[in-house]
Amino acid sequence: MSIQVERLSHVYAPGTPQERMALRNVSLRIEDGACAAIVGVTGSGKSTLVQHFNGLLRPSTGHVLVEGIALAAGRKPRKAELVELRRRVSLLFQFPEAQLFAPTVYDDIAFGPRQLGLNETAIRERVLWALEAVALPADQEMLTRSPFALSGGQKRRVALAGVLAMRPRVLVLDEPSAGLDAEARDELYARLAALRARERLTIVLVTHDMGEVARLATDVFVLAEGELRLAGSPRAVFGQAPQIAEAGLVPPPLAETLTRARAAGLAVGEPAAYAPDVVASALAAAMRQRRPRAKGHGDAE
Amino acid sequence: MSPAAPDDILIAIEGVSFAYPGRVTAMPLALTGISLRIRHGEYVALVGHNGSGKSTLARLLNGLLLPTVGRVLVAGLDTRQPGARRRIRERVGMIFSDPDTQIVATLVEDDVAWGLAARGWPRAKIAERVDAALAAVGLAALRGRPPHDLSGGQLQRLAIAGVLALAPECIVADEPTALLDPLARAEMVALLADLNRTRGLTVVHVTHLLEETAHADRVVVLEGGRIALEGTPRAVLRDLDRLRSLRLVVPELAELGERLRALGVDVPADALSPEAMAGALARAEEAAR
Amino acid sequence: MLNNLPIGVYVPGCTVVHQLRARTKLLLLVWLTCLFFAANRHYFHYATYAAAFALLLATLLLARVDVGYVWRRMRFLAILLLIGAPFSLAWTPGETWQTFGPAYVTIQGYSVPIGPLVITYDGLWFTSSFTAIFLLLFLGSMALTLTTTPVALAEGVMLLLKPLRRLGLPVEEFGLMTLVALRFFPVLVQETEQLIKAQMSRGADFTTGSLAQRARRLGTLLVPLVQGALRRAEGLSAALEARGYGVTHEATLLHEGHLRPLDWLVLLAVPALTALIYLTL
Repeated sequence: MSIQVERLSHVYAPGTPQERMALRNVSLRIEDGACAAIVGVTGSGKSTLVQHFNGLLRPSTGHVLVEGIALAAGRKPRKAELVELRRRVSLLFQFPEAQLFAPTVYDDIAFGPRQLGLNETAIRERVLWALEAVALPADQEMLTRSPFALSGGQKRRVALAGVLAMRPRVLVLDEPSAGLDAEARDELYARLAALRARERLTIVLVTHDMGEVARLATDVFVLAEGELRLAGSPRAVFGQAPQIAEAGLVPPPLAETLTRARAAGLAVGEPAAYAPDVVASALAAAMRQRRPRAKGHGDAE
Repeated sequence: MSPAAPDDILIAIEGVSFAYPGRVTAMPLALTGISLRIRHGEYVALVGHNGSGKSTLARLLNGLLLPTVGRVLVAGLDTRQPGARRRIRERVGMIFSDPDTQIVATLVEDDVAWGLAARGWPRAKIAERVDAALAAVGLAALRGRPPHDLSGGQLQRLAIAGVLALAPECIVADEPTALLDPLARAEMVALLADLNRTRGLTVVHVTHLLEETAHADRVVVLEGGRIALEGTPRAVLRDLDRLRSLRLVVPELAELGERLRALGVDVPADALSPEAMAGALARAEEAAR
Repeated sequence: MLNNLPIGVYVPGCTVVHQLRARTKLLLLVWLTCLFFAANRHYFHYATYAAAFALLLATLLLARVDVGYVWRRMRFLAILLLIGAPFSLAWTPGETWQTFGPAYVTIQGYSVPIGPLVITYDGLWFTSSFTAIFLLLFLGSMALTLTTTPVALAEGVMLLLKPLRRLGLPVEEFGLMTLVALRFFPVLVQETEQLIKAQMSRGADFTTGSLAQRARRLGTLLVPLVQGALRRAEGLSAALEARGYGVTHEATLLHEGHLRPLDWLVLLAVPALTALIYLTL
């Protein structure tokens, strides 16, 4: 088990006029090697939740167990524990390209490994590995470039390489595709899928984009107003369109089309996957099935 | 070519090429030989991947950028004439993708008023316009709030209200949904369509998402700084392979439609929302019976 | 870091303090600043400071500002001043007030003298009065920014500086700069928090290390902050241009109008009262 959350609540600025309860009694489990999507609208508590995964926030009540390290309410974690936790769990914030700071791509990616106190050979090895993992050329030209001179998509990849160079077990990504164009987004999805397959990395995806969930996730957790509203496989969750809408989310278009087609009287079951070809076959089959019966009904009249 | 555009043309782009001064890139010209006429009350979607030149073209429409070659006429006024710029910007309002950097004032209502105040309008008239603009975008209830209390979608609607207060004929929205969540994105697209339909506002909507073009009268696809494709959404979405070759993401429902048509179910190419697709399926079913 | 700047985020309200024109409040703050430095010449006369403190406290209470919040914001400055106090006490030259020591400490059989510590009258007075001045000005600018909308403040700055326009100073631009600075202050705070968290996630440690290490870490924050500010400035300038910035010279004022009787009353009463206290006590 990679991440275990038990009855977690979080209150911001307790005891002040700005006091706000961001999470209420959330319990969930994320298995090793899974790709868990945490979805919800802005302010649903999803960012608050994942900041507990590497100890940036501490529980107000309840506890979190991540990669064998426990964080519980009322107990200040030891420094060594936090260091170890952040080594195992990397968190990439929204628009991470805005956080680049070093004069060269090499220095930026090496920032994390340097904090770990590695020697320069090991650091270089990690930097090259991370660049390769995000499909950027690991040559001298790239390493010595200023990260600010790269394109938007490339900057995002350098930022991702920066957290991958920590060689984490768990990678938490907050809205990793926001603001990217289609091509850069597809490239990112392919890289994440490869990392999961090759490195058995556990990925936690924070997003409000159900299309992203359909493409990547093995498990979905829907948050609304700080509470866990739905949990399960993407197929199971997408089937519950009203609850998704209630959480303020837009269901994936294919799932929503099926829901509406059913409401219009078409007898089409859950498809094996939410892909256009599979859904098209299911719809066409349902329509073929219904036609003779509809005719028979007409004849009887 | 006559110097003045015909009456029903609001913006005429005539043989425009554009190069960013002093910028050395692989592509010397950001735009090459663009000619396009936008009619009063038309909804035009400018589509292209990042770097296709669509945002550059958008900034030429109100004189934020000036053509290197050719000219842009707004209601007959040349954007290159410094004296015309003020009137052009009153006619063609613009909003951008980053909600945070378009809001100057620190209260919602003050921000809507800002453009009018900068033009020296009397306070009473400003108040009237502000009320109407806030009502039009559905932010009347938040008028006394600071911008950092608003969500991204609300900030974008506030930016639109700031433009509406100036009573423009045209609104150019440069990737207004790029940084929004899907729900806010859908609301923004619906708002633009509504302003076009109910107020006759000319809309130029820049986007890289084809699913946002469903309400457009015309889709113009840019690639490498040139117009690659132009037509109604239905016509443009008929050739999905062509769109893929222009490095655009084909909407899932467009692909579903293509597969359904291949399977003998007749649905239109521009059924881009689940509602539209489900409706099309119901009609196809009806027709088959 | 930014939480320690003497800028509050405007809290809407309709108290007397909120209703005062921004100009009135700005002028009073300028008056208090002048008065504090004038009062500094009279050794061991705390009456002016005490009166100003009472006045500012009354203002905050009248404005229904959360005093606890102001105190939490002020705490850092107070601690900083407290840390600095012993040094300025010990090192200000002048007429001796008290001599402490020297104390003798025995190290390895040698008796080593520590001190003597000489505290002068100047040391006492300047340490205490400047501590008071800093805290009072912090309170004053908090009271101003918490009760005045930034647009009004920007307009107030512009109106007060208007006479300087004849000298060719870009007064309107000062007004816009004030507004933009206040507008993006909360954004900057959020962004800094986010940056610190992002770097902590990559193993950075902001709580320990030598001074040099901490300074270097600050550098890693400053680069992205400046980058962000530049990016924002670029976006903002395009948006301002599209919205017609600078099309006329006489922009309409949205908040600042004529000074009302209440403003005149306060503008006369406060300086008169404080001047009286300064002169008589």
